[in-house]
Amino acid sequence: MTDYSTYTADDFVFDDSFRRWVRGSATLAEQAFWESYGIDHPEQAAILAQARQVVQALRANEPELSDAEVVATIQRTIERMEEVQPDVPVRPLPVRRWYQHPAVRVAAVLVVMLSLGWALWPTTRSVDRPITYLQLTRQDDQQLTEQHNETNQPQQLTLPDGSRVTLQPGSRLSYPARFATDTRTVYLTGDAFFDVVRNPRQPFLVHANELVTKVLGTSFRIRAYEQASETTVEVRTGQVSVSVRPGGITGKPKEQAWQGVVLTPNEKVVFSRPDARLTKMLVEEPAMLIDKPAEAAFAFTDAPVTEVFQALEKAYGVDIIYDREAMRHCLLTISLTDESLYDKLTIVCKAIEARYEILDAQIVVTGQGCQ
Amino acid sequence: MHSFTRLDENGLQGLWQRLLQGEGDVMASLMQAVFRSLFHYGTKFTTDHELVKDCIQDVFVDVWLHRSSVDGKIPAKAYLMASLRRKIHRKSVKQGYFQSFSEVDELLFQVDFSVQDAIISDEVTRQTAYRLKHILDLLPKRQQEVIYLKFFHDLDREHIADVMGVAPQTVSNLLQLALQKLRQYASELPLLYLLLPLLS
Repeated sequence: MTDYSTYTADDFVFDDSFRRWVRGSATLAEQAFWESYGIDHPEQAAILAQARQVVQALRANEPELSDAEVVATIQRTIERMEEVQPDVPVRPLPVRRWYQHPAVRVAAVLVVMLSLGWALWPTTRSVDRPITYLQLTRQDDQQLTEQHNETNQPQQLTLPDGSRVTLQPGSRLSYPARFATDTRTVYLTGDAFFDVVRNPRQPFLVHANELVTKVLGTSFRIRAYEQASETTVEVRTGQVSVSVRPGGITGKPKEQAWQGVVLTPNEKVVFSRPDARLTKMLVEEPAMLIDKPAEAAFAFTDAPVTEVFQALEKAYGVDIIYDREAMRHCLLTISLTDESLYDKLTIVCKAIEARYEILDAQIVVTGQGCQ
Repeated sequence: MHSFTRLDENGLQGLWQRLLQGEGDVMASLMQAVFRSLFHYGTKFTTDHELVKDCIQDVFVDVWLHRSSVDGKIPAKAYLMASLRRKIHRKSVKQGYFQSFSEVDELLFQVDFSVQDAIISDEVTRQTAYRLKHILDLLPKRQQEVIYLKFFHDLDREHIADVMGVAPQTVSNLLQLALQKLRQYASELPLLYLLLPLLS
């Protein structure tokens, strides 16, 4: 096993396994390794985050090539194959080719985009043609079942794959009676919490307004009201990819520019329609990732505050940025239990005369440290 | 962004084996799966996009004609990229652009690395990314090609060696040289990288 503890951001960028993970082409074992590596090594959080962004941002410029050109060249190749060896049958493509099917095209673009794991940014900065729930459900070829919560209580429902959804009043969810073999696609308008059964071979896709949320197995909440100017996705457990489809429902995939983000627990993304922009932040009430109360107790005696920060990072899956050198001499005796994350931070910061603020999805602690 | 499915490694190998066994009707699916990768790679050697498309056709027709003698142990993508590389070089020489293969090797590989600023959230990362791009721009073409195949086509050392027609050890050496240069620049010129985002 490689010793990553001394790795710089550059070293990670040059590491095949790390790059595959960032780009979304890692094996399941690699995915599991990197997900837990990040949690187990909070001291390298900043370096890992840097390396991750560098991998995503570094590109090689590639020329344009339309689908039509690809298809034409393939056709010519097949004609040539038949000319050079007329005795061996080369079956021509069916008239309506499977990859021209609109659903396949949309799904394929998504899969490609998400598997590449990087975001492409929109050329136009506004949603001029909002995508509606009706358009989304009409475009699906399958027979869809719709659940409409007309009560004033949240409603629980179980999908064909066993995944559970809590649908808020007034919200609608459409899904097929049987999911396709390669994806589980549902459509939402309104507010719902999803607890998705893990199945890496069959990603779970939620289409809601302009956002497409892709998960393998996790829990998260989506708020996507048709008339609202903002759509949000909040992650409770696991990893979630969220991408935007500008250009309206009929926009050709080729003409669409995509943007996307990957969310981890306690992060949320807000998509603002007026400026077609995704903003990543922390959820209002970060929840603890550890279920067992024993592990969730934060009792420290004369411990460096850096240890307290590490425990909080691990428990809530958040990044806390602080000056390690200045802070490691601050010793604390403290017992924290069921306060919220932010209350815990306030107590700790008060004790060491520091302040914290939240920037993007990170918590930054500033203070003089202790001598 | 394109609309064809991306097969995983196993799916692609499956189609490749079926083609080599004479099943001509998998050709369209196989070509769809790898066409853009091949096209992107090919355009690093020539700005003549029609030439690249013609060469891709030739590569597949050749595979079909000589399928019994194709080494099935080499993964499809590496095999096809290697063939395309040779094909483009040969055609370029024939058309009189270049004197010999070796000259083509040295002169031809052209890649533009870029940094997508919008993805980056902080200044330190921005500097790291621009420093990396800057070093990559300065690398000799063979090192650039190794990095390009590794970073953007996810090929490992052995398959980069197959594609470029060199020994795996040569690939390791080229990578080491690139990484060394990066470290050297990181320690020597930290100030320059503060300015790079402004300059480029």
